[in-house]
Amino acid sequence: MTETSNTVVAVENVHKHYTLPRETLWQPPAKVHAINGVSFAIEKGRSFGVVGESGCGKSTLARCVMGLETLTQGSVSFRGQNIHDQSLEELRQSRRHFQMVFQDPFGSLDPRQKVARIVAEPIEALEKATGDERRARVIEVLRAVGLKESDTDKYPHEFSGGQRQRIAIARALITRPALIVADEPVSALDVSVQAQVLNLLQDLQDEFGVTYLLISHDLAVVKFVCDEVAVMNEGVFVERGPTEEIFANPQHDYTKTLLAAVPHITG
Amino acid sequence: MTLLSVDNLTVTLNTVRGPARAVRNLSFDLQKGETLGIVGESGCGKSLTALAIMGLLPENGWADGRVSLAGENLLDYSEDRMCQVRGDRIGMVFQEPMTSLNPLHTVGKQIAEAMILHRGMNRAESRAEVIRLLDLVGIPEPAKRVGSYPHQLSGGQRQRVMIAMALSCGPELLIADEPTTALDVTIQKQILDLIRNLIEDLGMAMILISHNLGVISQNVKDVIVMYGGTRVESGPTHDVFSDLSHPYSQGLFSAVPQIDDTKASRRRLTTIPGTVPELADLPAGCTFQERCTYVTDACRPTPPPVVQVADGHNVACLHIDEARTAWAAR
Repeated sequence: MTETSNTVVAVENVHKHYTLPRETLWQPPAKVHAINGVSFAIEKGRSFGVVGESGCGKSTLARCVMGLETLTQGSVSFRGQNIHDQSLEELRQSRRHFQMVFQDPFGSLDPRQKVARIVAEPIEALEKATGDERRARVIEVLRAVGLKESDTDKYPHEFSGGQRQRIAIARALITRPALIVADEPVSALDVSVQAQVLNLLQDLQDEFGVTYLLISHDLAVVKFVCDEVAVMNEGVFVERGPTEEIFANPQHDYTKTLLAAVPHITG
Repeated sequence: MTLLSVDNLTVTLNTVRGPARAVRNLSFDLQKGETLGIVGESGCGKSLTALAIMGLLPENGWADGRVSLAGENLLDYSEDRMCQVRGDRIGMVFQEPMTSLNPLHTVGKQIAEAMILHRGMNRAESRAEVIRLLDLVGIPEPAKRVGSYPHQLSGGQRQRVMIAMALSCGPELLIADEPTTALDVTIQKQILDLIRNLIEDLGMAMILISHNLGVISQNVKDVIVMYGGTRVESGPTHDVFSDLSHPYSQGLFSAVPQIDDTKASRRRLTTIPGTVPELADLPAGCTFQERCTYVTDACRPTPPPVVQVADGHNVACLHIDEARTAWAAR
């Protein structure tokens, strides 16, 4: 993998194994090989998609890229700096440059906090901003995701699923990150609302030049958002390449199976 | 011959914000051995329709109208009589194969339950039948799997067990409510193929409920598109999907990223503005009025009339001509 100055994140030969609870005293505990040697790099302003079925290791990969898991082997470099070598404090500071959006907009927002506080939390933790500054930035990002200034004093339960996912995206955007890792960002949403959030992700990329790592089980979502896509199965990328090529001319049997299984709307 | 006839079905739920009409004046007929799909987003009333047919509405809800199974109104049945219908004449497959099986009993015991209850079988007889059913739904080594607990099976296998349970008494009607939503696409295909083949082989009728347009378009003969508790469009599946006429059906179709779309990726999806309304807040007239691009004052006071645009293809909209012209020109 050639790293250029434009590379935002470079993942080199990442392995992640989990040790299962020991079952007997006479055998070593079993291991789950969640990721078995995955490498890729994402250029600034591009979107990289990872598709696969449940258990293929795609969410573990997202957590490894975010530095939420320690690696068994390999490295994740963010703008040339290996985040897995950093101390916890350094990592905490680096995190302002890479933020995450989770799948479940009902579970990922604290129900007891108002939107203003939820969205401001990353800058509260990372920057010493004054109250006025903080409020101005909260309003700025809420507008960017299509919410209103008056929404700052509401609680998460007052919003629909799609609006909550907008709040989650606003929270990720507020530190002005270079990279957003989105793990199944639309799979909990209704079809008509899913389209709004997908368009929003693209608009934000055009406006702010954000780089995305998008994890999804939905091939059509990845096809719609990503420039490049990797198909993951049993902890490895079985195929990767420019989105249009992969979808037009899949090479690996697993990719073909996956594509053939998607129900098409036939008129 | 008409197997199931739903006539003017209205489901009302008591919510903290007052009574909400979750299903409004829904009518449809299902012939013996035919398949019907109900498609829509969350809160459109598709699952409550299924629960109303089964007599399984939540305690804060009730149904009005008629649900006739072979001529008898199920809504008049006592709970005892409904218990004789459920599992025997109507089988049901639910969405969550993880939570709809009892974790404390073997799958064999759970499949046998309905047969012991409705067919008066004893344990030994039912065991042989359970093995036959497990084999029918494609579970390998069925004789061994009889004694398995749900946690020992994968999600796809659990859904196969649910299907075996639903089929155990040879029902005339199978209701499958989002049977594959929790499953991976490759497993989804296997399960849908299985259901489709079983329906054909056993001559059952089916109501398939899904939010996924692709799943509906490939698996049922007729389709109903629901929004806000009302039927907005219905007809033979092929005719409806090749000639979408209601602004909501059109919007739903355009909002789904298509995998076989030949246009370049990274273009904007057409969205339906706004969100699915709360049931208690649904307007009096057309339920889609707040999100519709063709809305006029005429849409607001009363529900739109149902217009037949082609044989069996019905659309409830005042602005069909505009919507159809725009759709054809897209």
